[in-house]
Amino acid sequence: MGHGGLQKRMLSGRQFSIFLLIAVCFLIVFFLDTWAGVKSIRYGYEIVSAEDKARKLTDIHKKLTIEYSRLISPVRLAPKAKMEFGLVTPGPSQIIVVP
Amino acid sequence: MILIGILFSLMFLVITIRAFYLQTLKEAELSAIARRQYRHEAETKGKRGSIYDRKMRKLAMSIDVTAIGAHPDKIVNPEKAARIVARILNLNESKIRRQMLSGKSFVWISREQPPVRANILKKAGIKGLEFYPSYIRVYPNKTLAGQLIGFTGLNEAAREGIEFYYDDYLKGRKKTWLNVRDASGRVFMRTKINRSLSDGKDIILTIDAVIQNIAEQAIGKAVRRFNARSGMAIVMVPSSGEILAIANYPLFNPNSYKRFPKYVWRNRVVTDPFEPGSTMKVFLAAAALESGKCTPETKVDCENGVYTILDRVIHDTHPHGVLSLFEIVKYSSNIGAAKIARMIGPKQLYDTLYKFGFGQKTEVGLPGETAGKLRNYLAWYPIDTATIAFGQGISVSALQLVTAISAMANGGMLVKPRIIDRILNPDGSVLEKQEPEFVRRVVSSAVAESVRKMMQAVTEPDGTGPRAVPKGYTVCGKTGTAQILNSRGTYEHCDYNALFAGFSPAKNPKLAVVVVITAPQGSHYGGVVAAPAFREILSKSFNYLNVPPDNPSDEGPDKSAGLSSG
Repeated sequence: MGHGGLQKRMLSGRQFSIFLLIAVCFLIVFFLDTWAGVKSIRYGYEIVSAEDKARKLTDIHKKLTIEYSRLISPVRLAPKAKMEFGLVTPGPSQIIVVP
Repeated sequence: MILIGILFSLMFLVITIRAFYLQTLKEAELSAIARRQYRHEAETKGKRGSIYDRKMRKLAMSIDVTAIGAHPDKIVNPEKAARIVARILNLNESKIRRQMLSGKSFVWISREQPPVRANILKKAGIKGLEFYPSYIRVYPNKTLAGQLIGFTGLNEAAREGIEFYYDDYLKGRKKTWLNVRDASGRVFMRTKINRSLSDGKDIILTIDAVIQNIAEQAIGKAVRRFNARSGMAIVMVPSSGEILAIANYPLFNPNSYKRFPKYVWRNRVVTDPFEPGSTMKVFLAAAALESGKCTPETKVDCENGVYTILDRVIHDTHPHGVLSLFEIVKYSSNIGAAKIARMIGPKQLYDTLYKFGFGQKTEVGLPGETAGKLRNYLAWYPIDTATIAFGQGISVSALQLVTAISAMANGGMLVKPRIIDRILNPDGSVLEKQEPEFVRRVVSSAVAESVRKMMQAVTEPDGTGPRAVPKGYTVCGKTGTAQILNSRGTYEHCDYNALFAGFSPAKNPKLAVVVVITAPQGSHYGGVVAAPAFREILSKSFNYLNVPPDNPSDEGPDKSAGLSSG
């Protein structure tokens, strides 16, 4: 019984290698999963931060759009053209139609 | 050894039971508590859509602001809080202090603060303050097309104009977000829960901001020059029905609508009917020619300026003898018009006017549109056939008048006016696009051509409307001088509307314009008051649109001569 029985219960060298391989694969998967999770959360922070920055920039863009619209408004430009630059609507004799 | 083994086994069993209890039996409850701590649903309002002109110039848009409220009963040190709030938000400190000491459960500190300032105040950490994301509406062109665009009040509630009529398209829907936070409260995941489009749709109008400004300046000049009560003008492309300008004077700035009296808010081009006066003679001529009972050469005796029908005396501004139909329109004889109308009969006149769109809404898509008033001919008194012929006893809007005039420009085809070019989804794709729509044929193309010649004669030097002609161009038009009923319902000591309606160039019309100046002083004739504004609108618009002169030999004779009558 003694050593013979004990030898039967111990794993053979081959079985041990397979067991070791599976354990290593499991560990690799485990670490990869953890790494991916950490990365995911880190990217989550970065995405939210980028979204907040985008929102602020969009807000600035809107304000600049309003300012631009105000500056190019014909209500503002037409009297400026007339008063400051003396521009007037050309008469028919000043218009040359190029065929 | 066995005892130690039993002890550890018991401890392990307790742990296992506890773990089972927490992970399995209490799982739902504990998960919910955890979720409440790190998951948070937040609602924001979708952005209201913008309004553009045809060249994508912004006419109305919304910007982010923050509404700031306070719970005075939760503020620990109201004096200090008021000082900080007033300094950061640049508000009156004593007013803020009064609000914080009011004892109310909630007060608004400010409804429209820029987000930058609101964030600075948030970081000050004053307990009892609440911050709500909001939007305000901005109209960067100020008074340009103010009555047409309308405005929104508090919380972007649409009140008038395009803002009101197309509110369902423009308004943003609620957006629901799921925020996942860490232990420090920082968000590291944000997901939109409702997938449907939540921002409002953008509206592109057919309006051209430059031509709109030209029209507003022209009628403003006329109103100030003749000390008139108000003015309006509409510019339309006759071939497509696109409206390029709807101008009302006095002007209106929707950014500060509270500073203007309510009657100025109204888009009178669409909402206010008026008696069209002698401009109606154009449509009388069309009815007469279409009936086959008259030709342009048909002659009537204009009784030297005074004619009695039943118990009414009809006057002409200038006495005429015998005039042809052509000349009746050119010289604007009321007596001639009355006689032609009685010649063709009330049914023919009514049918033609109805086909031109009078007495019905155009369905342009603007709020408060009036149908005007054209009673069925069966309800006319015997005198009505005569008076309606020269534009009394019928009321029309400026929009109806320009649409009807455009039918002459289109060879007798009535086109549907439109103010919307297209509606865009928030992602820029086209949701709806409006195309030109011809409603019906009103008169034959031959009749339309004959009437156009009469209208062109009106603008000749001896006609009533030479002042309407820009140098180098030909114009087909008609003057109108219409009495406005006084408060007693009579024409005694009344004001006038001075009108000019027409299109240009005569052969290939590009623009149709109607100008109405209400209650001018000094002179009230359409040819004197409204015609110059008409000319200015055409002249500047053609220059902007690069429409070449069609009468380049016109060296600009003195166009101020000619008959002044409606």
